[in-house]
Amino acid sequence: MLTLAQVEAMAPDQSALAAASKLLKPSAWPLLARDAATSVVWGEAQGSGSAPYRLMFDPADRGHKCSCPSRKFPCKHVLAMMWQFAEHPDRFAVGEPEPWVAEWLSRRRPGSGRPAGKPADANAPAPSMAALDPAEVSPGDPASQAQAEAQAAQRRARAEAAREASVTAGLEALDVWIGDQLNTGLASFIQRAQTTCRTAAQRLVDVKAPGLAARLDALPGALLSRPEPLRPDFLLAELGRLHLISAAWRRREGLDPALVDDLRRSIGWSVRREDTLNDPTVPRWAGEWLVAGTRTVVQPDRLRRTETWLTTADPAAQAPRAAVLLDFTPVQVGAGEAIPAGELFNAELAFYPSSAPLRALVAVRGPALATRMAPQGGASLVEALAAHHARLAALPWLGDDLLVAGSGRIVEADGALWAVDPDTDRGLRLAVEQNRAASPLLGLTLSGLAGVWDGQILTLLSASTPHGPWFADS
Amino acid sequence: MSDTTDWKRLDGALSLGLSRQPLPPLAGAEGLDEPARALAVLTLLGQRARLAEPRGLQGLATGSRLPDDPRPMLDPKAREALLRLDRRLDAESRRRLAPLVLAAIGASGQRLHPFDLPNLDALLRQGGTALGPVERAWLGWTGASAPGASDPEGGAADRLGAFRQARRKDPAAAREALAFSLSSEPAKLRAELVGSLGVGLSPDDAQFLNTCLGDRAQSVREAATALLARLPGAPAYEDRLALARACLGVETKGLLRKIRRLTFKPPSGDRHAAATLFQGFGLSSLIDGLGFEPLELPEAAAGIQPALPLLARAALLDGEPALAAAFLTRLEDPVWPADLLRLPLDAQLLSGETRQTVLSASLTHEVRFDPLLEGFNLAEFLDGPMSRDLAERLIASQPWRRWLNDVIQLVVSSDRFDPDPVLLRAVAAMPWQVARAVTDALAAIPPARQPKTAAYLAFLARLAAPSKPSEPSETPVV
Repeated sequence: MLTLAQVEAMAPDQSALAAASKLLKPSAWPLLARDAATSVVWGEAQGSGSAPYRLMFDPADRGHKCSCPSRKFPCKHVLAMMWQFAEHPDRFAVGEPEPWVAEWLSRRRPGSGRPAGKPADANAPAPSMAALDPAEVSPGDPASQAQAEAQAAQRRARAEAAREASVTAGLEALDVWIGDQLNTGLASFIQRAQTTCRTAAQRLVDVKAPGLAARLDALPGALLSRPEPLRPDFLLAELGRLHLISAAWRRREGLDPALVDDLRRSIGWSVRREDTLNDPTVPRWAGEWLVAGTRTVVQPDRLRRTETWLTTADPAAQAPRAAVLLDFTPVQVGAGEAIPAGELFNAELAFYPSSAPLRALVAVRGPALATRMAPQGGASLVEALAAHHARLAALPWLGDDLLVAGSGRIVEADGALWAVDPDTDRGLRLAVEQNRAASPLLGLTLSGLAGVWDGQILTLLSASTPHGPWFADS
Repeated sequence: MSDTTDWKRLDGALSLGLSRQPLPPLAGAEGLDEPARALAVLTLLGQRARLAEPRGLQGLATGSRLPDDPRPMLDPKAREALLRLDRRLDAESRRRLAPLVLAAIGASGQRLHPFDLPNLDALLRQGGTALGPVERAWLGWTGASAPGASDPEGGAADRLGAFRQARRKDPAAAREALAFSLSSEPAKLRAELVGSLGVGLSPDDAQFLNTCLGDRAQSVREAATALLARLPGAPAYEDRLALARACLGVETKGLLRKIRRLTFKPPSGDRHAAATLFQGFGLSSLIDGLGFEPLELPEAAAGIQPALPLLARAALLDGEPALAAAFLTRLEDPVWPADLLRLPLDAQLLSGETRQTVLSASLTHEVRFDPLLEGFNLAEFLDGPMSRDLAERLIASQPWRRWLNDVIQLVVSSDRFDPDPVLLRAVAAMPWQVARAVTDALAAIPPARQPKTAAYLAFLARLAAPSKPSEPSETPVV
C-alpha cells in the first residue's frame, strides 16, 4: 500500500507538493479508479481546459504519466492522485483499465519508474507535507519569491542537464540498435520491424526522447503501407534520418542555433505554444494564407495529430511558401476543429525557429476572405521538388514537406497514379490510398496543385482543375 | 562515389546484412571504425534516395481518363444535397434509391460531378442501367485497379437488365448474342438470362432453348424447360393450355339467361396451382372459344375475385395494360398498386410503358393504400421514376390523401413509430418535377422524423431548381 512518506519522497520539490495539496478535493476528479489485479491507479483531473488531464500511476515501480504539459515529474496531478490513494483508497473505483491506461502500460518497460525515496534532485531538501504550512512561504514576500524562483530555475537547469544526459545515452543506444539492424540485414527487417521497433521506441520513451520514439513506433506501419518496391529506399531514408539526428545531437555545440531548435523538437522537447507566440525573435509573416488541405493521423501514442497545410496565396510573396499548423488531441476526445481546406484568410503566422521554417502558429487571424479555393500558379513541379531539396540540405532530417506547383497532370503509369510535370514528363508517385479519390483527375490539366511530399510519395491535398477546385478531403 | 556499381554494392551489403557481406572500401571513410562506417553509408544512401530526381514517365502513362460528357454537371447545392442524402442511406434504402436518383439526374439533363464519384461509390454500384458513361468508366477503372472493389452482383444485374432491354428491341439479335456469351457466365446468371427469353418468346427460340437443356446447371435446364412448355405447338404447351382453359367456363344468368358470366374452378381447388398453370399464357389464348370479346371480360369476370389478378397478368402478356387495370379495379377491396405487384409476374419482362399504363389505369378513387405500404415496391416495379402525369394524379388523389392522414396520425400518436421507411417507399419513385409538391404534402411530419425521405426530396427539389449549373469548362475559383 502506498504511504504518504512515499508520496513525499517522489515529489520533485516542495512547490509541487504544495500545488498537489490544492487538488485533493474530490470535485476536481471526474474519474479515480484502480485495477484490483495490478494495483495500477488512474484518474482524470479537471484542469483549466475543456478536457481533463489523464494520468496513471503504477505503485509497483512508481511509474507514472500525465497528459498535462508540466515539466515536473511527477507533476502535481500525479502527486495529488497518489496522495488521495494513500489517504482515501475508497475514492478509487475498482475496474478494468481504460484503453488509454492499457496503452500506456503496454508501452512501458517494466521497472522504468524511479524508485521511491530518490528525488530527481539529490541536493535539494526533501519535500515534506509538513512543510506545507502557508506561513512558511509568504507569497507576498518579494525576496522569498525571488529566492524561490532562483531555486526553481536551478532545479530546471539540473533537470534539463539530467534529461540531456539521458537523451545522449539513449541516442548512443539507438545507434547501436541501428547498427544491429545493418548487421542482420535490412532485407529481413520488415519481418521483425513491429517487435524490434516497439522495443527500441520504449527505450526512447524511457530516456525522454518521445519524438524519436513516436517516429520509430510509426516506422513499421509506414513501411508496410507503401508498395513493396519502395520499401528498401524508405527504410534507408528513415533509419538514416534517425542516425542523422543522433549524430547531430552529439555535435550540437557547433551547430547553428536554429538547427539545434529543430534537433530538440525532433527528439521530443516540447515548446509551449505561448512561449513561441510571446517570443519576439521568432520569424513571423503576415499575409494571405490559403489552406491547401488537412490531414489527420492517429499516432501510436493514441494522440490524433491534425495537420493544416497552408500556402501563401501569392506565389511571388516574400515569405515561406508553406506552413503547417499542428494540433494534437487525445483520440478519445475526438477531432478538433480544423480550418477547412480551401479557405483563404489573412493571418500573421509565427514560425517555430528552424533552419527550414515550416511549423507555425497563427498569431493573428483575420476573417476568411474566400472558401473552396485551390492553389494556382507558381513554380513547376520539378522546381517545387528542387526547392524541397534545398530545404532538405538546410535541414537534413526534414520530414514531410508541402510541394506547391503551378501546373501538372495526373496520369496512371506502372500501376500507380502520378503527378506529372507537363514540361518534363517527370512525375511524383501518389499515395496508393488516394487512387480512388484522385482518379477523377486523370487526364485533366491542372493549373495548380499542392501535396505533402514524404520523400517518396506525394499525398495530394488540392488542385485547380477545369472542373473547379478539387480537395482530397471532400 | 561516381561509380554506380559502388552504390549497388553498398546497398546490397546493407540489405543482406554486414555480417554476411562486409562493406566495400569507402572513399573518405578510411578513419572510421566499422560501426561508424556502416552508419555513414546508411545515411548517405538514405539521403541519396531522398534527393533523387523525379522519375521520367515518357511513354509509360496509360492514357486513362474519364470520357467526355457534354451535359452540365450538378450545381454545388445539388451536389451537396446528393452527398447528404447518400450519407443518410442505409444499404437497403441505397439499393432501392440508387437507380432512381441516377435516373432522375439523367432525366433532368444533368450529370454527376466527376469529383463526387469516389464519395458516391456505394450508390453507383447500385445504379444498374441508370449509370451514365462517365460513371460506368469510373466504376470500371476502380474495379480494374482496386482488388475486391468489383461487385459481381451489381455487374450481373446490369447485364441482365441490358439483355432484357435488348430482347425487347430485337429478340433474335439478343438471342444470338446470348448464345455467344452464355457459357462464360456463372450458373445463376445463366439461368436468369435464359429465363429472360420469356420476353418476346417465339418458336424461333426453340432451337436455342433445346441446346440449353444440355447445360451443366440444373437451374438453366429448368428455365429452358419452362420456356419450351410455353412455346405454342410444343406438346407440353398444349397440355398446359388445355388444363388452364378447363379452369374457365361460362354460365348464364338473369331471367332471360342472357347475362353471361365467366366461371373459375381451380384445379383441385388450389388457387396457387392455377397461378402456375396460367403462367405464360396471354388472355387471348385462355379465353379462346368462350365467346367473349376482350373488352367484355372484366365485367364478366367480376364475380370470380381469385381469378382477376391472373386474368390481369394474362392481359399484360398480351400487351393490354388498360385491360389488365380493368380487371384489377374490379377487385372488391383494391389495394394500389399492391394487387398488381403481388401477381406472380416478372415485371422486368414488361416494357416500361406497359408498367406505367397499367399503374395509371388502376389508380381509381376506390383503391386504398396499405397503411404501412408493405409490399409496396413501386420503384422496383417501374425500374425508374413514375411519369410526371401519374405522380401528379397520385398526390392529388383521395387514396393518397387518406393514406397520408393515416401516417400523420400514427406519427402524432406515437414517438416510437418511425415513418421514414414508409414515406421513403411511397416517394421513392416520385419524379423530380413533383418533389416540391410532395415535400409540401409531408410538411406536417417533422424532418427529424423522416431524415431519409426529407434528404431525398431535398435532392429532387434541387434538381428541379438548379441554381447555376457548373459547366465542364468552368474555370477554377482562384
